[in-house]
Amino acid sequence: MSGPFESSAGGAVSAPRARKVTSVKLVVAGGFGVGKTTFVSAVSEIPPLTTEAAMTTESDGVDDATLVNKKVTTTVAMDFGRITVDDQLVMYLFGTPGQERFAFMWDDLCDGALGAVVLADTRRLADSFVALDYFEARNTPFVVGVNHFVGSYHYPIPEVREALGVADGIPVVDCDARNRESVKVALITLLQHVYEIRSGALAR
Amino acid sequence: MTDELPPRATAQDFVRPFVITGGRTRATDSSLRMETMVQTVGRPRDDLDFEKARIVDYCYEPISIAEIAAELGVPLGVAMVIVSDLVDDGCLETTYSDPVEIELSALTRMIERVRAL
Repeated sequence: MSGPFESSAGGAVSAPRARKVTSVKLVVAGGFGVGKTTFVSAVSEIPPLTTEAAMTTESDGVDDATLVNKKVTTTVAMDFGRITVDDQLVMYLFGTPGQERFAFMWDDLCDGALGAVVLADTRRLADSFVALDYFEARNTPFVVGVNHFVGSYHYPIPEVREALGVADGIPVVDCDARNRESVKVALITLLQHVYEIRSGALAR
Repeated sequence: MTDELPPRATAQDFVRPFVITGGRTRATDSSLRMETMVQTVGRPRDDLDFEKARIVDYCYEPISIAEIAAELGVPLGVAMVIVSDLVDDGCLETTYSDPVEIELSALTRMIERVRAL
């Protein structure tokens, strides 16, 4: 930590010292069309931005289309939003690229993530399996948000939990991505889950 | 009349994003992440390329690399290469954030903030 009077090598000519602002990344995952961008925009202080990642990758069986013996470049789009916590901390929410075949680039996205919300659509639960498996394997803290679409049967949470096969310790909550309060609940649930994991780990 | 259709657009008709980076796809600092915060430091410089100058102008307030990429309309990888160069040039500073180092008090602040939204 550098104090206000500490200066770099060329201190005399430097602009005011950068104030230290730390960022935290949260990931919003789930199948295509499950409401990830809607979720992000529900709480973001800026309209969700889109950034493209041009991935040059060795073709190592990512999907059939890339099974050619050379490097391939794929462009995937990620939507993200921002929540400024205070003058020292900013939270970023990144949506994963929707299609499963882009899971190969999740490593870049999830590296350094504090935690994840996996959105599940009760009409297509299997679409969220990739994300669940991924975060379980990486030991990234996550919670499941069950997005209820208009006209879809409202399955009770215990049933959804069982169908998804998530461990008992993983919170599963209802989540309407269009509803800010509902999205807030999902995010708070995630942050509290991370808190519990951390405080437990620290106590050990 | 129809035998002289205009040639189809080809990849060569576009400026490829990594042209800006001189073809480099890897940043000199491999620890950069999309959420890494960047801020302009040092005196204003007038010897920078267009893209570099834009980034320096854009980062007087701390901002993430992802936002820089979105602002410039370039892929993340391109933004990382340029940011990394600018750090080497002494024009930018980054704040490394490791989730393992996030303190419980920071988590509490985050929870309170989301609650207050």
